[in-house]
Amino acid sequence: MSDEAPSPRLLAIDDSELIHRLLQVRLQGERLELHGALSAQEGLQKARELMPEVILLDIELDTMDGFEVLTHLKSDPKTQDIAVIFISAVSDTMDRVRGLDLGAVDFIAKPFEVAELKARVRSALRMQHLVKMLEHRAQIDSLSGLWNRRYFDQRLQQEWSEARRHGRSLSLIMCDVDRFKRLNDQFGHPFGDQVIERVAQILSGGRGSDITCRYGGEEFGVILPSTAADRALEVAERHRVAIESHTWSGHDDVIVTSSFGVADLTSLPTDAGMEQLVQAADMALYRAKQSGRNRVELATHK
Amino acid sequence: MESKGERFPVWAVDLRSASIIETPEKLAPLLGDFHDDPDMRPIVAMFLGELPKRVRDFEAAFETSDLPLFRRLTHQMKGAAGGYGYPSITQAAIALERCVDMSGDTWTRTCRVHLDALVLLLRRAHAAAALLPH
Repeated sequence: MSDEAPSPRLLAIDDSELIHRLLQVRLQGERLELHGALSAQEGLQKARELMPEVILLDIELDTMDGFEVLTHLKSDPKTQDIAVIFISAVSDTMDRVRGLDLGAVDFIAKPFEVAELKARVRSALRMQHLVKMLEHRAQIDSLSGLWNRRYFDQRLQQEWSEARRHGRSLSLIMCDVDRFKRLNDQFGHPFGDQVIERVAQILSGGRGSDITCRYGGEEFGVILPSTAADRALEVAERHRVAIESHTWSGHDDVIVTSSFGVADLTSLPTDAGMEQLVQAADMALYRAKQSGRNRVELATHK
Repeated sequence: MESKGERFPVWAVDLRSASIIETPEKLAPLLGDFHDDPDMRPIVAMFLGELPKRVRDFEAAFETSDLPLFRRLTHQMKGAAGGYGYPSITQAAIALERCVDMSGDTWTRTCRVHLDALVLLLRRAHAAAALLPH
């Protein structure tokens, strides 16, 4: 049971305590973590803090109405994808249309029928699950199963900001399979694909905290949060050895090697941006290639 | 929590004159749809226990012509009562809300009738609190 995914979070924003009590009892049997907010401001704050999957939003609130709350939620990148269901005693068709046009996924009339309430919440959760799955798939490289370049850029930016803000170390490993074009030409594209898949497995089989991505073609990027250069060098060297010593089924005599460039924040000027970390690791990788391949090079401070 | 010891005088409504007249008769308790529902009982008891305060809030907002508060109280009752098993209270609140929305400056006279009808139902519902199964 402990392996179960955490219960989805539902936030009810309604100025009536009566409604909160009712929801608590009526949604008791559902696999949900129910949270409540009695005002628009409290609701917006909790939405950002809790990041619920679904929000039940009343139209008539105190300082701002439900439409304004929804507009705020949709204009905030952090909360814009939360599924919002209007739950209101307002029965005007135009209000329903306005709510749906603003981005609400559904509308439940108060007083609500319990079975309908549950069914609509379940339906919103299903849709939310599908949206998240699609988002996730859009960030996965289909051949290697690793995070793709888009995710790499987003995640490195995020880790970069965190490291700068909290004064933590951060390293980046760039890896490129040596003479990959020749492997493709000599042994065919299916073997090339097999190399990409296997190298991806080796690179992602390291520490749990490392984030391995396919940067493009036969190039990979590994983000190592809270890791200084010396430790990153060890990780890269271990990967290099693992790739070099791998036996390729059906091609026993083939040895595939790879080159690595490693950079960390200390290899950069203090005012450097995230792009310069990638550049520094790329330069180190280039040096590894120039120095004979199948080696690890560390970026030097400029 | 259900308020203990607080008792309403006995009331009846004369809709022709739109005034509330105290009578010696006992109010007929209004049993809700979830009267016997063990899951709902705790919050129904709480809902019924709080009705005297809500009646006072309605009356005070009406007397002071606090229209925004009056509308909010009415709207909340309309949205919640049915969920607690009292669709007739929701219907009375709908009529009152419509009256408030449409009446403009004359709302006090016309809406008094609807408010009295709602208050009567709230008091009858409160009278049923003592009958909830333990």
